[in-house]
Amino acid sequence: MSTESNNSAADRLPPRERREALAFLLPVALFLGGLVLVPVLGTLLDSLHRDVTFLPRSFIGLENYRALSADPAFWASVRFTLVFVLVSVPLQVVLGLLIALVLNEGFAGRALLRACVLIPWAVPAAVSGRVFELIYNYSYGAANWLIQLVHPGAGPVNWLGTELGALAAVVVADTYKTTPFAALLLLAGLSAIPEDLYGQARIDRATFLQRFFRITLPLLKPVLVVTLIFRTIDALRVFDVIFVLTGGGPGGATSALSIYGFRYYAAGDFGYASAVSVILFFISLTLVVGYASLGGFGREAR
Amino acid sequence: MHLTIHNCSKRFRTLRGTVEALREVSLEIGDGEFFVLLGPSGCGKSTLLNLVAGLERPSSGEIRFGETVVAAPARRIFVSPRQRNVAMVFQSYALYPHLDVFGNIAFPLKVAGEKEGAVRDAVAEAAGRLGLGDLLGRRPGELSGGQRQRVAIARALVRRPSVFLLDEPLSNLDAQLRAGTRTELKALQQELGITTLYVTHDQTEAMTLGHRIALLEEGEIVQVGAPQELYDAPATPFAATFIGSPPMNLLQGLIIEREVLLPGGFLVNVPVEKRDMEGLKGEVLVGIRPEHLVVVQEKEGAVPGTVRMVEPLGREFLLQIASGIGDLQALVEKNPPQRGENVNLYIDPRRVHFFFLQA
Repeated sequence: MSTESNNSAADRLPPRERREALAFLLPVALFLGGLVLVPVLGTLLDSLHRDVTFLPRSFIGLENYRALSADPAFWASVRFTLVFVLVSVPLQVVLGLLIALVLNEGFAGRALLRACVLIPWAVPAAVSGRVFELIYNYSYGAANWLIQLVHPGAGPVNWLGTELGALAAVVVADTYKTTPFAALLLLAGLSAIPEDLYGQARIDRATFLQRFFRITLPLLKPVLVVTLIFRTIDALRVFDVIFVLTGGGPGGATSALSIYGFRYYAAGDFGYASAVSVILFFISLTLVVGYASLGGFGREAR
Repeated sequence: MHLTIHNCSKRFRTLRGTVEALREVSLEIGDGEFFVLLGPSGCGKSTLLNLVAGLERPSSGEIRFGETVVAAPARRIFVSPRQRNVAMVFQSYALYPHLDVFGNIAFPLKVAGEKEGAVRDAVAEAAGRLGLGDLLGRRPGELSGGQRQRVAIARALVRRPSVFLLDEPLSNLDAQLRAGTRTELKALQQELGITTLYVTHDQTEAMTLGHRIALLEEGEIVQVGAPQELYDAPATPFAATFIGSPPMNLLQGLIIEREVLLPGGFLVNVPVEKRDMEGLKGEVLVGIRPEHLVVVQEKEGAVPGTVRMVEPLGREFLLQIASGIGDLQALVEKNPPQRGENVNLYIDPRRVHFFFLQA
């Protein structure tokens, strides 16, 4: 509906104003084209070539994709990436929502607390990754020390050396780092809901839960969807936390798609690595389109 | 529902210190009464309304709905808004933006878990009463200001509240709509007979709507009474200037026995019925309403002045006059003097108000 009306509106413009409108749109078109479209198309093109450092580039069609689909390690990466997204994103958004709800209440020192909550997000991933590496260390890490303290009989957990342990470690480290971002977005959404609505709802005899589910949640939905989109895309291309913490191990158990692809880049097989990037790109695109239709964007926002 | 507010205070603690929004306010509001809380912004009238609604807790004092104590901090009693059965219309109307008109009006019934059919009937009745029958499918964003206001009122009335609270409900409407809605509100309240507490800063609204008015200033009640009482016998200079438009003229005076000396050496006799100030000495504020200043021919006993400005108000003319006793506003009905003309003003001593300045 919106594109149709936009077209007809553009058609109605006199030629001079139309030229002006196009001139105003040109910078952003160049910007997006140069920085988004060209690299995406370049990667797409590259994925159809044999592009290895020591050989001349040659067109091989879908050969890279065929090799990809035949590699069990690729499918393991896809599986791990999706599991990582499905576990970490809901966790981060729910935690972020709880933090945002608390920070949206009026209390003394709220501004200070808001700033503090953001700190994990401001810490470089490589740094927090190292810290978590120490925490998860088998013999002297804080995690095992804590387990022994709470449950003296239990043996130490091999966090980074077992499949499940490594997944948990990576998810926790990523959640620590990115929950503040989700909280910040959701807090912005919450503070846009007028205080009067809550007063009115209390007068209308809505309980606390009714206020949350009938007012907060529906009014927060657009922001919630945006948060989900951001977090999902970020989680799909997760790299730094895993690279620092497990390097994709143990035995490729935490090798996310970006880590898998990075291996081939590092080895100089650009065509194959591009094919991995293209697949990651299309997974992201599909999910974003799905979210967007869920959030009802394109319909008139109110 | 009879409302009692007894010695209520409300303090807000902020990082910059304590703000006292209300100081020992006491009011009795009768069953079915249309009671107006009037005052300038920041006087505490909305805070008082929120205390009655239960959105705020009093710092001290007691609030009773009929015989039921709903708030008494000294006895640790506080009844939440859910259990008070009050309805409220906010200045912003506070319509739920994601619900259509039907959903908004139905909200208080739905959260109470009422049956689908009963909800539909009640909404239809409330919507019909306020002329919203054709708009039930619209979202608040698609309504005009006046329509939104009606939705807010319909939502307030739909569940038959025992107390009806309105916080500046007309201030977001344009002047013409405001006058019309004012009349309708008054008729609606008379018809339903719900005890109503109405907050406004607009003295015209207060005068036209209220059975009684409480005038507030800086967290304290200045005067409580019927609109005409407040107009005829204002208790303080603040009440005198806040109520009535154009406002009352106030002049510095000095009491000398049975007369008051005004600036420029003019004397005003103190009428017999106001002789209770006899024996008092010192400074006094003398108030006279613009409509009680009479332009006269004879100079004897009148105050001379020059017309600075003539403002036609339609039915009458407002004169800005520089006179021997100070700048005055006067209302005349016909044959206004010209700008720059010299006039004589007669001050009727029986119409004069005296306000003693606290030492």
